[in-house]
Amino acid sequence: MTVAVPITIIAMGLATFLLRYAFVGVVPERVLPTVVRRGLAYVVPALLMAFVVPGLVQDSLAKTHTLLSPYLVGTVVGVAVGLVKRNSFLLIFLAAMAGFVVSNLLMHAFHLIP
Amino acid sequence: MKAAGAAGAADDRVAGPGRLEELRRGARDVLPVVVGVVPWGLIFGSIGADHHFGVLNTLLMSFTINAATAQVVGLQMIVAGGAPLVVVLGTVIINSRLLLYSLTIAPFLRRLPPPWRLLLTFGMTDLIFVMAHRRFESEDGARAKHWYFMGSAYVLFASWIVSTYVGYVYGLQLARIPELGLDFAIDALLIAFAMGSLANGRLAAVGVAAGVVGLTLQTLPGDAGLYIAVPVGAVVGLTLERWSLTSILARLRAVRG
Repeated sequence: MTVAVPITIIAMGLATFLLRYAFVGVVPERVLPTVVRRGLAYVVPALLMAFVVPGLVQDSLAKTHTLLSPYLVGTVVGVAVGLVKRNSFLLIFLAAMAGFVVSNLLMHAFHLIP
Repeated sequence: MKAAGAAGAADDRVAGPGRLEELRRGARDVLPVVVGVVPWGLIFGSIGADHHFGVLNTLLMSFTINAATAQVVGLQMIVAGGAPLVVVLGTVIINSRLLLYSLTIAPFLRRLPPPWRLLLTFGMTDLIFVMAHRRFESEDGARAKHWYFMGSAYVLFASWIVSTYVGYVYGLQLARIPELGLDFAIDALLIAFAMGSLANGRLAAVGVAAGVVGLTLQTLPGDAGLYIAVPVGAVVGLTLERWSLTSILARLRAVRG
């Protein structure tokens, strides 16, 4: 490896940092239209669901070759607990993990997944 | 937006949990994320070792970039002899969702002194963004919420550096860890955050719209599906602000009456 490699890595780091910092310290808030600022209130739920849904389907199909997988069971358990106890973050997390682990063990034991 | 939660560092002692308590809470709450992220740090380190990239270069990537996917792709591009400019451009494209995070978190951070803004944004990864945003949005009157951000971001960052190093030293022996299902920890966290964020009917509609669009467009290259799904969700939310189910029913009743 030459000296160009660390320089390239540092440039990658700087570029990534600028993406993180752009609206926090570079672009003034007033340049954003009001509708964009109002729409920010919906970014987090939209982003989370846009991450979660395709990610779980992809994980399920790629790792177990079936939709009925520990990933689906863990998700269903997590969502079910979340519907009852919406703000119990730790409880939802633990319930989803428990659903995943138990169904993973059972599905492997009964040879339902490779 | 309740940007007041991030008000001046000088006001930290005004109300709510103090700085150390916020720091401690952030460090505690991020532990499940650490469980999900460490396997990826081990894998990244082992990829570095496998490609004889050098421990210093591998660690330098984790120190300066702090973003798993961009690091893996960037390392492979460098090893394959990619031109530096192309490698940097590839990193920008892969990490471009960070712009969205920057835009969303900005109202909470603008009032902090520049050193705070620099430190916090550097540590902002996907789940840290969600955790910090959730904390800033909570209405408990606390004024030192940026310490929560700091605690969660830098515990995760430390685990990322240590796991990269351990992965490099022990190589591919550890790369089978995700097969144990630890990778689901990240999914479980996202589910927990998602359920917490869908606090009312309108936000649930936003989530459903974004989830359906994200799933439909998941085969698009890069994060293109995400960039379309998020604005669609926001448009649904803004539309429902004007046309809520209650207001539609009220109008119907008025027309009938």
